[in-house]
Amino acid sequence: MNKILGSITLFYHKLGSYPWFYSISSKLLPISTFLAFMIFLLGIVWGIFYSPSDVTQGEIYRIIYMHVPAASVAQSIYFSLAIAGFVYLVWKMKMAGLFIKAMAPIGASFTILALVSGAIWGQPTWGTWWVWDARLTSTLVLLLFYLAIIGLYSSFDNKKTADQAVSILAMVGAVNLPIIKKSVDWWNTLHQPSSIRIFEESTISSEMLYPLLICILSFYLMVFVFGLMAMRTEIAKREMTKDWFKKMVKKND
Amino acid sequence: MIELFSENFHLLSVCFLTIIILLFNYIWPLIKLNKIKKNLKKIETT
Amino acid sequence: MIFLKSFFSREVLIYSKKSSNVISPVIFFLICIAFFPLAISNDPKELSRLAPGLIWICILLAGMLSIQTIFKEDYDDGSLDLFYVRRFSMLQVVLIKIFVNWIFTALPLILLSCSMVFLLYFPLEKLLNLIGSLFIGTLIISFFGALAGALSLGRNSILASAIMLPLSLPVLILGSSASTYSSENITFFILLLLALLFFSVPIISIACIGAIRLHYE
Repeated sequence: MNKILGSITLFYHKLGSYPWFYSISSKLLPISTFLAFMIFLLGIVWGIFYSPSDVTQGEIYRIIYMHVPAASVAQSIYFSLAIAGFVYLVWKMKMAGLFIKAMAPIGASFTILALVSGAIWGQPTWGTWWVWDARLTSTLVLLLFYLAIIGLYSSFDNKKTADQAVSILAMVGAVNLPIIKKSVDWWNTLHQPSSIRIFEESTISSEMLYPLLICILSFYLMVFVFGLMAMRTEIAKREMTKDWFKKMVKKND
Repeated sequence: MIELFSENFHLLSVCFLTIIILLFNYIWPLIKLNKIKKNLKKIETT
Repeated sequence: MIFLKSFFSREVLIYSKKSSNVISPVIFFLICIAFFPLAISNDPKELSRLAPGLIWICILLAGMLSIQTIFKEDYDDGSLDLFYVRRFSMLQVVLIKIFVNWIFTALPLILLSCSMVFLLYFPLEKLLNLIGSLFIGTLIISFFGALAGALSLGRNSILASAIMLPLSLPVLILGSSASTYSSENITFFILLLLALLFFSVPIISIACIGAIRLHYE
């Protein structure tokens, strides 16, 4: 038991060091990029060309293979930001601050993808681009939170202060996000929306479900890859002048 | 395949958008990192 | 206790000496309210239907403008530095500042929104709902605004709005629903607003202290 705990703390301390992370991520990147790309290809090709078409929606439903993974990833990234904010504030782990900085634009881009693909999907099936539905509204608010985090970060010159401010905001936002979701739900039921069903659970057959799950997995893998890359870039930005980084760059030649 | 997309402009546009966003997330940090590396090398040589 | 009293009277003195801090939100609120009928329509039926939402949006915007500067003046003239360096209890400082700011900027607006019965044809029987929800809602908004102001001390104020407005979305929804729907549901919304208040006060004030602290590290 003590051994496991010790190795976990060792891993944690290693994770906090820029050089270790930079070198380990460069080893991890090629394999994970390949894996993510392959699984993405598998899921998308299976979903778009080989899965059966939907009875009511026809071919258009295949947007689901990009829309649902994007939405899922967008939410997960926000909660990972909040956890990183907590870690940064409590244990002062500088890698956590860097993680928030690196992941926020990625999360924002996937939120935009989820919103826009949802709008494009909604146009032929519901007849409108946008519905003030609970899910859509809370996704929009999620995007606002991402933008606020990015804006707050960029307003500071000192990286350390920026990390701290952004972690506070990420945590408060994460505490507030379920409340916002819940209140938007109440608001939605009060306004009695037209009988739009976004997605009926019963219609999904296993032939559609498997490619969808693969797509979701591949999106998570891709976020992992993008996160590693963005964090490496951010490390490079912060440690440009350090010796270890110069050595690392030289070695790569 | 061509039929599937030509009849479903919506699907095509979502695919296009997804690819753009994924590519953007992939290429943008690469460009930035390479820029930093290049600058470092420039400083080293001078 | 002595500190509490003297700090409280200091804050009150500042607001009473600088009356523009009190008057400008009121002017802003009135202008906002007056522009809605001009932009939408002067039909009394439509206006009275829209009135709760309009009042809440205008209150939110006016509150946003007034609360953001809550720490700014003390930060600019260095008294916030002194509070911090002299190891004053930051919790007390934050709470008193927010509360006094609420008294001087939100209370006039709440009183003024009674006049919306005439201006926007707000239904008289729901006035109590509106006032009750405004009392709680503006307090919550003040806390969120104080956090936004503390995070963006010395930066542009648009950033503070971008932080504060998404946070205060639940207040807007609950508050405008409380003043829109019939009085059967009112206790439900008021209770929810109260729950939100008790939930957010400790969290936001701690976050506020952290946000002030980071400007001095």
